[in-house]
Amino acid sequence: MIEFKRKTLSNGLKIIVHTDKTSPLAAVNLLYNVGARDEDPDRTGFAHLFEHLMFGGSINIPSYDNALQSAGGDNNAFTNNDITNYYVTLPAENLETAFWLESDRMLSLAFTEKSLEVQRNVVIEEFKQRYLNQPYGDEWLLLRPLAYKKHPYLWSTIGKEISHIENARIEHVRDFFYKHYAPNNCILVVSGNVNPVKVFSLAEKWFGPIEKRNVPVRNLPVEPKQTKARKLEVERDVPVDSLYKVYHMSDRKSKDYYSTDLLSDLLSNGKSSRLYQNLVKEKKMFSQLDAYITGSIDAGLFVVEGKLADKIKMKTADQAVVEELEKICTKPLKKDEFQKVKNKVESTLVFSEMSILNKAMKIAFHELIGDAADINSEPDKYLKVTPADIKKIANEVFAPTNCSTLYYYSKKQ
Amino acid sequence: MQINRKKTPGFEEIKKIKYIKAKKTSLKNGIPVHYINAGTQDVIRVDLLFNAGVWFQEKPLVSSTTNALMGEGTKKYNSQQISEKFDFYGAHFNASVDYHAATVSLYTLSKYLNETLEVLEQIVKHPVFPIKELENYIRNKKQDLTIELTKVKTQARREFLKAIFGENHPYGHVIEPEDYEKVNTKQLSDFHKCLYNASNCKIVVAGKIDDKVLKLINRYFGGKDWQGKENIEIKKFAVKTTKEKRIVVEKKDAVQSAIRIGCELFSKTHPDFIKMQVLNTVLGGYFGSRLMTNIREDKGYTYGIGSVIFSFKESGYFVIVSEVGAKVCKDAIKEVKKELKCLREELIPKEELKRVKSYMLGEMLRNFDGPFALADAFIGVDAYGLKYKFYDEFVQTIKDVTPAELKKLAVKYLDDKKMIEVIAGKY
Repeated sequence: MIEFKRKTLSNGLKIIVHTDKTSPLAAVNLLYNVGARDEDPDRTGFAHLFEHLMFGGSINIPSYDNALQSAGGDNNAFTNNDITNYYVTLPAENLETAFWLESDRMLSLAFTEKSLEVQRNVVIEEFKQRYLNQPYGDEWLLLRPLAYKKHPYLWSTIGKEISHIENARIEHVRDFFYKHYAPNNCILVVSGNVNPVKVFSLAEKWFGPIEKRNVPVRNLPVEPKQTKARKLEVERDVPVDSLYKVYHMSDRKSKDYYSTDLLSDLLSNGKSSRLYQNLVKEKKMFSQLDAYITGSIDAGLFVVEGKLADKIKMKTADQAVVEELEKICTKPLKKDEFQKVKNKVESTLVFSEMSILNKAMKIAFHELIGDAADINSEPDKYLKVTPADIKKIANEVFAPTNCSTLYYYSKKQ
Repeated sequence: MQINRKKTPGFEEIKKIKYIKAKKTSLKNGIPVHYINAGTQDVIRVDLLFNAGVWFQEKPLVSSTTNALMGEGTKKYNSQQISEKFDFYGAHFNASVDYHAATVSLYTLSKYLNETLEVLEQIVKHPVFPIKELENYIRNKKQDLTIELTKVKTQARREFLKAIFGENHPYGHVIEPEDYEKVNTKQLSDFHKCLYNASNCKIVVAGKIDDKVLKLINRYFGGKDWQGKENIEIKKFAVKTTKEKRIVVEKKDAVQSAIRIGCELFSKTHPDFIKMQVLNTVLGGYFGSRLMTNIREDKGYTYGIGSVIFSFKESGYFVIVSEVGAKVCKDAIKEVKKELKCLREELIPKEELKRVKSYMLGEMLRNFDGPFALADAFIGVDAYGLKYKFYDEFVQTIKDVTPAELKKLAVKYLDDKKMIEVIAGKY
């Protein structure tokens, strides 16, 4: 049970505090409700580029990092298709430093040309390092536009192409900032060795004077139901063939999310799971095989991906996966098997609550998609799932017409 | 109320790092147990450590394969039953080796400790190394390695280690895909028999620990049924650093080149170790480091660059690591050398050093946060024959070290003329 206190400032900033006195540290997490899905289709990669610019100096403080490190703090951030999340950990007694820094960059950035030019290059190098210069690095650049035709999940956080980043101008940056970075578009969570009253007063002092901004209401195109199986084949300079099958699934808030998550656990969580036991160990068709869900806020994807064992044909491997998925659609689950994934939910939860930073991030995310209190009621939602729910959802998700398949061939063959 | 946003609200310097130390007891058969009772969650991590790392093997891969296959079949349970049991209890089993130690770890909810320890006992004492499991393992690992070998960073790392320590030294030896063909089950069971026994074991437990936990550990591992030879012979290996100064591994379509620049250094026990950590942090050990500031934040040549000191029991090395745009590779290396030169020739400004010191002390606080981190901190000294005193000295040295001392160390250890450069990709 995670206990917390909350407050909302008059400018709309939500603050949630969770005290954990066993740590000497404080974690400060700011979740901005903006991600790659909010980008203009002709200017993709912007939310992520922007995350980089947030470290390029704010209106009153030339170096965010120097100031934080001097107070013994460390920080980082990530951007995904849904959110941009910034986090700091520092000695609890130096908490105010984080408020000073974070409030200044919410107030306004320095917006220097130099910072933009450098971060453009850095992000281009990141694009190369993670997506172009790695074996299979472009898998998601191929899968997203195959599975999504309308919804902005069709592009990756890094962007559709390098030119979108190259073309970023300072006025786009400024515009993006005032559109999305605002107290009324942010959730601030503080956890660790902190006193909620003190945190609220610090929040009032540093964030209170920032004015509410006009944040556009999100109105994203809905992905139309897929009615025909899709397929893409590519050949790349990689040593091993790889197979991907992605299926549309529910959004994060749906009741179906929990059954779908458990469905992926049954197939692929742990060495005792079906895909590993049957297709990696018994039939020896794959050297690695995983099933997981993307967990995105809007309707997401159920992903099955694997590296083929030597001399196994792509079609044979594909067929073997399909048969495993059919099995779970038609045959009853073993009792132990079902109990197992439920037990795992409990243990994953207990272990995930060991770190104050992890707790802060989870609280912020739950607040964004509904209510921070759901962090405590979520396990029950998993425990309520029945074998019948699993069967129902498996049949919906694994419908052949709901599938996009990618054959990623090794050039050698 | 008007606030001054230009000025820091003020912060406290970290004076002392408080942390929970491991307590020591021993099992009935004499195995030392170090336990850390900490944290808020009802979880337990049990580590069994053996002197059975790469250093102790006669043939490549024997150490890691023995360790990995212990959980793939025992007298009582086959591979599937083992994974089913751990998964059923929501427990996590992990086996790993480094150059010196081999570790088997269990992460479990406190309430299932008994059930999961029972399986762990089988794994540790009675593995049978089924040929079928070995074949599976080899097949999959070999493929992983083939994929890994196409990455420029992997290519650079391997060439660098070979160059620094020589291929016949355990720290410099790298695995080739065909090495997997040569592993057999007899080697594994022999290696297990010789090294995985009570006389060669140490246990570290962290989480919610009470007498009941210690009793259970005694029940499964405290018996005299798994004694072995005392005093295992520890071999000596000579380091043979290559004479070459630059090694280039060409990859024609690379859009980035991986670089490694560095030299042999020393173990954690060396008197200059802690001060070198400070110097390394200034150079490339944190986000605000000189390498990051210059090569990423000013030039935009890379997504990331850093420097690291790796220390092992018998030696160690210093290395600068990055993946840079293929076109700017030479420029990036030039800038790296400029930064090294600057450390040798100029004093680190007081403000900068102060910031690095604060950051490092904050990092120590983070490294002691939570029961598992505390267990790692214990292992982090114990494995080198050091005591907790090392951490007290660490804090004191960070506070005391001066720019002049660091400059001297830079002259002594960070001379790029004595370093080896490896570039994988385009040069």
